[in-house]
Amino acid sequence: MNLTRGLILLIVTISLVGLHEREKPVKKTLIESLQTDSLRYDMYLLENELGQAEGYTAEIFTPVCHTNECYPVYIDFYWDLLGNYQKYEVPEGEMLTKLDHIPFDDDDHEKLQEILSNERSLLKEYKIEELVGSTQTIAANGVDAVTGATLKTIKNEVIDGAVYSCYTLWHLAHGEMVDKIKAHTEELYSKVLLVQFLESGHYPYQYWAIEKVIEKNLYKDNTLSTAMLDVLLGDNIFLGSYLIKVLPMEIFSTLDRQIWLWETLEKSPYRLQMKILDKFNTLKLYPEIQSKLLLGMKEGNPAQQKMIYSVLKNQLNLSKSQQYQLLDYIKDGIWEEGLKELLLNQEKLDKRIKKQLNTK
Amino acid sequence: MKRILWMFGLLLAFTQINLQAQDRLLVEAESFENTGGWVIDQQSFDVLYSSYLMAHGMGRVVEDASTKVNFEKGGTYHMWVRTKDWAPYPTGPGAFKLAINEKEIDQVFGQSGIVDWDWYYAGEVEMKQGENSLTAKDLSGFNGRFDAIYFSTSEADKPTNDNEKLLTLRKELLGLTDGPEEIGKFDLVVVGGGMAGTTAAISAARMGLKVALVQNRPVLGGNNSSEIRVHLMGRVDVNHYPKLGRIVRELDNGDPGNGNPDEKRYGDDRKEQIVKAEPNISLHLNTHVYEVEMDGNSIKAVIGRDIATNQEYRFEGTYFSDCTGDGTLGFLAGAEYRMGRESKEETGESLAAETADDFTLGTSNLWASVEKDYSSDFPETPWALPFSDEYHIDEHQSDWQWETGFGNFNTIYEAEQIRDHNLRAIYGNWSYLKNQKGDKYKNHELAWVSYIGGKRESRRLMGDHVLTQMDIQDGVMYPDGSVTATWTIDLHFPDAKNSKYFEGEEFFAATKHIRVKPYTIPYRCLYSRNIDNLYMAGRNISTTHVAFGSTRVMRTCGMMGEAVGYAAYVAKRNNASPREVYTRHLEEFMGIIESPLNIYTYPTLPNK
Repeated sequence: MNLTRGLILLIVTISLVGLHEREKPVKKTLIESLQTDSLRYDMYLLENELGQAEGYTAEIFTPVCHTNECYPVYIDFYWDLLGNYQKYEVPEGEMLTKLDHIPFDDDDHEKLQEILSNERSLLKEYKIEELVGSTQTIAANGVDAVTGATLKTIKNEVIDGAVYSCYTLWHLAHGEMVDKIKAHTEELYSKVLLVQFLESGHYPYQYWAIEKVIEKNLYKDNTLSTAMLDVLLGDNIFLGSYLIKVLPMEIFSTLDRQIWLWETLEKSPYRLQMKILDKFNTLKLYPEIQSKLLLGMKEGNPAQQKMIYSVLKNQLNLSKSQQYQLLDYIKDGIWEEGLKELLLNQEKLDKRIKKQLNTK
Repeated sequence: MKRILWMFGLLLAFTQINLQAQDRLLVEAESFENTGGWVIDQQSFDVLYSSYLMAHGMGRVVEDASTKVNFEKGGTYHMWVRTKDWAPYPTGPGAFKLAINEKEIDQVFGQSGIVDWDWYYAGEVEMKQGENSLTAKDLSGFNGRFDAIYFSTSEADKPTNDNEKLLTLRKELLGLTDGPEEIGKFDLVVVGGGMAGTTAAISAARMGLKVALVQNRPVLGGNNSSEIRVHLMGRVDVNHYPKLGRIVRELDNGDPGNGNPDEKRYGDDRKEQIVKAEPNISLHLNTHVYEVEMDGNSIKAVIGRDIATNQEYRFEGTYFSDCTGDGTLGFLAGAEYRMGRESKEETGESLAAETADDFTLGTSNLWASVEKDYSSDFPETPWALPFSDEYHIDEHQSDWQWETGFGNFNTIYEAEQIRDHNLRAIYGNWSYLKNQKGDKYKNHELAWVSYIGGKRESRRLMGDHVLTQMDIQDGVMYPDGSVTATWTIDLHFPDAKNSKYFEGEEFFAATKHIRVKPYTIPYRCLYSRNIDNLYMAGRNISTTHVAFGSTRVMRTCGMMGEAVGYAAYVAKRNNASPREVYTRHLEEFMGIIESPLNIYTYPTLPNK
């Protein structure tokens, strides 16, 4: 199992690396062109050699202006299929510059990448006028400088001498183009895309796909439900916790699936284990799982025992041998009162056990 | 029925005799002669009535702790260790072993999967008559801990696990039943040696009072000490009475920010030297006050216990000042207090909660890493909080946002759980950064993780005036207005993203600063309304939760201490209560606040 998991991880890593690192995608399809006074771009869908959609790019030209001075910016943005900003590139022969036309150095590029990657940047909240001081400060600091009272709060979110560029570019990376991307991906929607998303290891895709599969009741499809369940085996505890919460009961109506869930529990981190146990509480359990719970009751730490007990106490159709197992636990002093109650609540309590309990 | 009772009585008598017949011995962990790399933690004293030893190695095994124990009789003893599994998810990392006379006991402690403190049976051990050695060997560097070790010749003699009953047993077995050692009678006994307590002691001492300063850590400074490393905030340069704040300035070692990896920047020595230069201060470090003797509505004496040796000390005083932060002294004395948030209806404050609740600001355990010119590993931490590419804190050093509490835990009675939750957040996140973001963090190494929680909010003791948001925002200048405060109303709450991923167990805070103009806190917020000789300074003064959001910063707290020192002087001089300083001697007090020289004529310096 570990090997499979490793393999999945490897594939995921390779495909993610592909998304970020590949110089030239196999196929690039123009999906939108825009030309206004303040912005020009061509937006493309990128596909890999298998014909799978991989992301979007836009080749952008925009003038960055303040008062009467403008300078041209040529830049290519890359997004994933849901419009999450990934990176930028400057086309050959072009460069980004700060005030007085000083070209960006490596640190500036690194900083810009960091700024644009921050979806929750303070730049979102501010108007451009608030970022740069009055005309007085322009004379002193040049056009594109951070000045005035906003300096402290916003300083980490901009590059000194390139406030306008940062502001303009951030709003392009997280603005209307993102909506266009999202809309376009909705059109691409297919079972293949969903599987691709579920297996991507890229959590925004995975959340999106899980939501779609559940919303549209697609989990009856075995390929989709398997791909979706495999997400539980991944490294993202938050995604796993979310998935276990939203998975519909029907998905676990077969014995195989319940056993699969139990085996998943056994290799999950503690936090997910507790959530999976909680999930079992909503299911109609097969005797095999009931037995596994009984075993877990003996081995767990007090918090786990408590959680297992909360599942067990709803199991009122335990077999005779399971009932005897409970009796043994009671004799060993494990969760005594609760287990006694559980036995007494059984629909078909073994007569000899009943007698033993009553004479105690 | 009678017969049953009679038999029960007989049985009880028999047990008593039996208990006395056996030989037994208690060894407190914190009293180990050589604590090695283990640290003494007294933060749960008010719950456990004891300190304990902890292997705080930030993931690196710490050096052994060892001690010598004398047995009157040699032979076979049964041994129990009081310990816990501090992170039972499902089992924690805090493993350690014990050795007796260099011989290791097989059992590994600290990994039972059970979070509560309890006595764990360690089997039979052979003890020599006379001196025996006892060694604690840490196995992980991840905060394994133990409270005490108990030996008895009877296997049935497992000690009680009830903390209060255990206190009685501790006293009996440690020979503390004869009562505490008398330290003396003081004009002012200051309990708590943070910024407020230290300034209160210095201020009173310089006015000529005989002062005891009792602090439960080995260093002064509290949240500003090198043990917690929070920087001093609040201004001292816009005071209505500009001469207040001078002692705060003396103690101020410059601003290293929060959680600076260089401990020296926080100036522990500076603070201690200043205090030690005062002939009128009797300084008692490592002493936790946990009992109080009352005389009607007045405190007569306090009793503190050494956090290492457990020796008890008694401090008698005319006046007392609660600078504990937690309001410990006031609580013990029965002072009126509030904890949590008041409702809008109760206080009329626009920033108050709709309904009253237990919510308090949280506790920080700051940490820092430093970049080295070599790479290093950090273990996986399955017992810690989990992180992923979707959510982690991408920082090499902490700041104030690392904070747990927020009504999820009680700042006082769950201080250990809060600290441990902070540790699970720090170690879990750090493990994620080191193992999954190696490019960025491979050369970073944890330099420091605080094991002492920096608390923000606990009890607020009620005075004759309760400072409110309106007092602050309207800038009301009361006749007894003495300490000027400048900090925003800064009430932290869980960061929204942190809440999304760790709902109900948040460890990362956000805030909204409500700006205020400098305002001046009345003297009546600095003494208890129902305990006749009790002052307070620091975060536990008489304010609402909302107003506390502004008064709580440490330069401001330090100035409260200065004011309390002066007030105690006026009270002493006039044989008055703290309240009477306001009702009868306010002019004199305000005169000193304006300038101590107003009443105190210093001799002119002789010409050279």
